[in-house]
Amino acid sequence: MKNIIYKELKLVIIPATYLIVLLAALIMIPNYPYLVGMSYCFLALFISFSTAQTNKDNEFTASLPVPRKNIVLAKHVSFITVELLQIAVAIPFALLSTLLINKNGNLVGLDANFTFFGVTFLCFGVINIIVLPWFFRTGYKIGIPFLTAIFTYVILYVCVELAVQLSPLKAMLDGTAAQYIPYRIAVLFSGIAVYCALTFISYKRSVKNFEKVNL
Amino acid sequence: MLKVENLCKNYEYFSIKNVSFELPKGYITGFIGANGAGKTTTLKSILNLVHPDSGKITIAGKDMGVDEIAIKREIGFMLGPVDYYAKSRIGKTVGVYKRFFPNWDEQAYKNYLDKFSLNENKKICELSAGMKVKLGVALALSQNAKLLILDEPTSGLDPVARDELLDVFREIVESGERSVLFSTHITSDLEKCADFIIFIRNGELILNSAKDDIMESHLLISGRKDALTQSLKERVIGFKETAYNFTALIKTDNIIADDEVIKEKPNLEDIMVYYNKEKSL
Repeated sequence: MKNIIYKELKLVIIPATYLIVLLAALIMIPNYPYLVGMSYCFLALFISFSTAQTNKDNEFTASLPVPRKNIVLAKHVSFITVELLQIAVAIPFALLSTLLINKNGNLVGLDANFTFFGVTFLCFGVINIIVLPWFFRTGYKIGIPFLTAIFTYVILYVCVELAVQLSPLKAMLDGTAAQYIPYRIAVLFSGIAVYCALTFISYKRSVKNFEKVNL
Repeated sequence: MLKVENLCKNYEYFSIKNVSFELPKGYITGFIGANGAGKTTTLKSILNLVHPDSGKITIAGKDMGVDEIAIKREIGFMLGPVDYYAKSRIGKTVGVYKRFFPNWDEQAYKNYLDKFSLNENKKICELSAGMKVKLGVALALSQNAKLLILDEPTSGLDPVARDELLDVFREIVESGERSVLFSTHITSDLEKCADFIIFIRNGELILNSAKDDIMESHLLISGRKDALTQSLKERVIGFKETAYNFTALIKTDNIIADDEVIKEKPNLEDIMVYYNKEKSL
């Protein structure tokens, strides 16, 4: 298993990914839709998968003695690694943004708080469950799955933002008021739970799809 | 070494129909057939890259349906020239590739690189078509595999490189422990080195026998057109006619003393060509 993950990280994920995720620094821009800053990891993943397709990665992978479910798992590990890296890189920028730069809050959306990261996890889970099982219907087609996922991601984020902003719970979920931190942490953990569930379902569906593919 | 039993795979416009054959240990077997005959599909089905609809594949006593990964670690296969990760250096891609093979023989790999004049610092896209084939063969051979399955390994190679490669195949089977199955259109390569021939046409197995037996059991006959009687037409496998003459392939047993024809020993190409002109097609 570790060999196929090594192969993904060494050959498939482009090195520029580790720079691209630094664009999470956009969170420090005052009054900005912060999810934009969290989206660049998908640009990196899209470029990585497209480049892998150009490099005939599916032919290379087919030449290896690896069970198909491990190939699926390795792709999921790649996604999860890059997504978590994106979130990890965003945390210090979120702290800088909240504590030093945008002390008055974000006027165009969620502040970079626990709720924001919970929503980010939810959106990432939705991306995973759209892109990966779709990709594994063929093992190489990536364009339409990614476009559909990004479109859904934007719509979902806008809906969640509107729901929070128009909700009577806005004071609890948005902002940085200390007394509501437990609520926002609850949203964060809910987001993580949904992310884990969607990614797990994505893995199961991807295995089922990929088993049927003739390489 | 390799046993294929009743392999079937149906596509909308093509099927592999009940293909069965056995590969003996210590020999080179050539797998021939026209373009689209089903060679690659059969090889991919053996390797479970294409899922067969039915049939059983056994390699060294292990069932492919049960021990796929263990089997794949012990066989070498190459389904085309190496052209993946073309912009990467050979060393980088092979560095990843070899981690998957516990029996990888680094010394043998270095020796094959030297033998084929391959430089690990070169990018794969900088290799000629022939060199890409050689790299694929070097990878398959460096796994210390007991069975090598190679799809068109000699295509794209110049005659000198092809001859070198055939020598390598002969060296591999010399010990009597390893077998080679390779598909090709270049039947002259098989005449030089194959012990057994498997011939497939439209997804059906036509011939499966020792090469010498196949050559001896067929005759290439020719003569004046009027010698191609109705009786002879019914006995030949396939024939070609010109304005005055004909040539045909016939089973040695089907020739009779009354036939006024010139008899020659066919080569594998003749056999392949005339079987594809079979009357029933």
